[in-house]
Amino acid sequence: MTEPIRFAWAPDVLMRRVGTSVLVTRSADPRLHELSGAACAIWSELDVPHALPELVDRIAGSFGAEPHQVEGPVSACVDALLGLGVIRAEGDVGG
Amino acid sequence: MDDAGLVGVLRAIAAHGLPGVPERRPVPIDHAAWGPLLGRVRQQRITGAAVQSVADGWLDLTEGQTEELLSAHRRAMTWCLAVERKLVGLSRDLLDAEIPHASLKGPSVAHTAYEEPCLRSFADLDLLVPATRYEGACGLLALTGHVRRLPEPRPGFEVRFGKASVHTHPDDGVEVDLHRTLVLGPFGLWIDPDELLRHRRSMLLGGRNVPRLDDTAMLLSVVLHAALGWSNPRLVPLRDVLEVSARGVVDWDLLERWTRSWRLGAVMRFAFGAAADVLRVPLPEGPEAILRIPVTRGEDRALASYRGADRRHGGTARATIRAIPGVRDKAAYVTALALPRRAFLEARTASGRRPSYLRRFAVPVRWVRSRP
Repeated sequence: MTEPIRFAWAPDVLMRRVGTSVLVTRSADPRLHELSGAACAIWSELDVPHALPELVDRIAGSFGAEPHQVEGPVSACVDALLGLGVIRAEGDVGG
Repeated sequence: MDDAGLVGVLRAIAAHGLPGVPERRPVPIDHAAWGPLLGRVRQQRITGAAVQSVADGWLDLTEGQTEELLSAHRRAMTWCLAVERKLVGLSRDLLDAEIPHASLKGPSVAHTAYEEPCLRSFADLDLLVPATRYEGACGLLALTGHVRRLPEPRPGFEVRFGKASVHTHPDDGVEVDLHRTLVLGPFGLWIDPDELLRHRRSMLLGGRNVPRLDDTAMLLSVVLHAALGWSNPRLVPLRDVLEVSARGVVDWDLLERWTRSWRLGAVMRFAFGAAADVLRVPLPEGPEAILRIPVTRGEDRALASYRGADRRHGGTARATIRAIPGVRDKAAYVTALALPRRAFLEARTASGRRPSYLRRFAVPVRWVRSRP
């Protein structure tokens, strides 16, 4: 049985809440990112590692939507956060 | 809203969320008052508390005012993150060089005593190192491209009599205050910074364990900062005193022993009294025994030297001379300040004027003449 990939904050993130947004940066990277709306909600969930299906369920619940309605945007947001380097993927896909 | 009203709102913002603060009725801010209020909120670095006051409903701002406040807070938090990035890197460098150190004030208080770090802004970085490693730490900062703002009056002055030196890197502009003690003047000489450095913990920041003072030592440091940092205490240091007292794990017996050993009774009484009085909150129970410690005339005089006119007219320097033990060391202190090396004199001379030892001698004469 393979372990699902889980996503979580990169270990060197530094962050601050500004109202309903959050500023995120990394100690090794001076770029600063401001997350708001759904991106902020997804970010907040990833202080604890979550696999994508868990994350989709949690976000759907918090927005009062069905999982299939949010799966695409959540997946796209996770990809974007991975691209920024502020979250990391944990676990192997397995063979 | 008149100035008294503005000051009242400012203090209420600074106190928001402290134990014992009553619920407030919504307070709208009229257009004429908003600019001055926002200016003071920024100047006092309490944008975080102001944003929280809006979110909690008592600071009743218009949409436009809220946007302006959020914009100011965003700038403050952006800078705090830059300072923290700096702290993580410097801590790593100091650890690699085996220089013990502790983060003071700003980042350490924000991440430990406050409910969220966004509630506590800061503008620079303060690090405490042992006096025996101070020159090495200065050297490390220079090696990593930092520029020291002022040379010492004479070599070794800061380790013997001073508090700290200020270093800045041209790439990031973050000010690093490298301390060998917590405050200038007699109290800085009376405390034992090595004892404080034996009371350290870690905080997780940017993936690293960054050393900071434990809650008891941190409370002592914020008390000193609140009481002695300015002639009129600023709101954030006063809030720090109450925040650490309420949320920190403080060993009050140890703090009492330090207060007695290091002659800090007057300082403790002033800091806690000012915090409760200015922020209009009840005094916490923890420091009760400390606040009953008898205060000597010497402590009162030393405290007075940091305040008001006395501070502006050489009070701290005179009090330092009284506090330095031994005639030889007193003479060394006076000589270093009266006859500093050329580089110090040049750095302290206003642009466009020629450095002059005569003009420097005139300063203490003016102090003596202007004293009541």
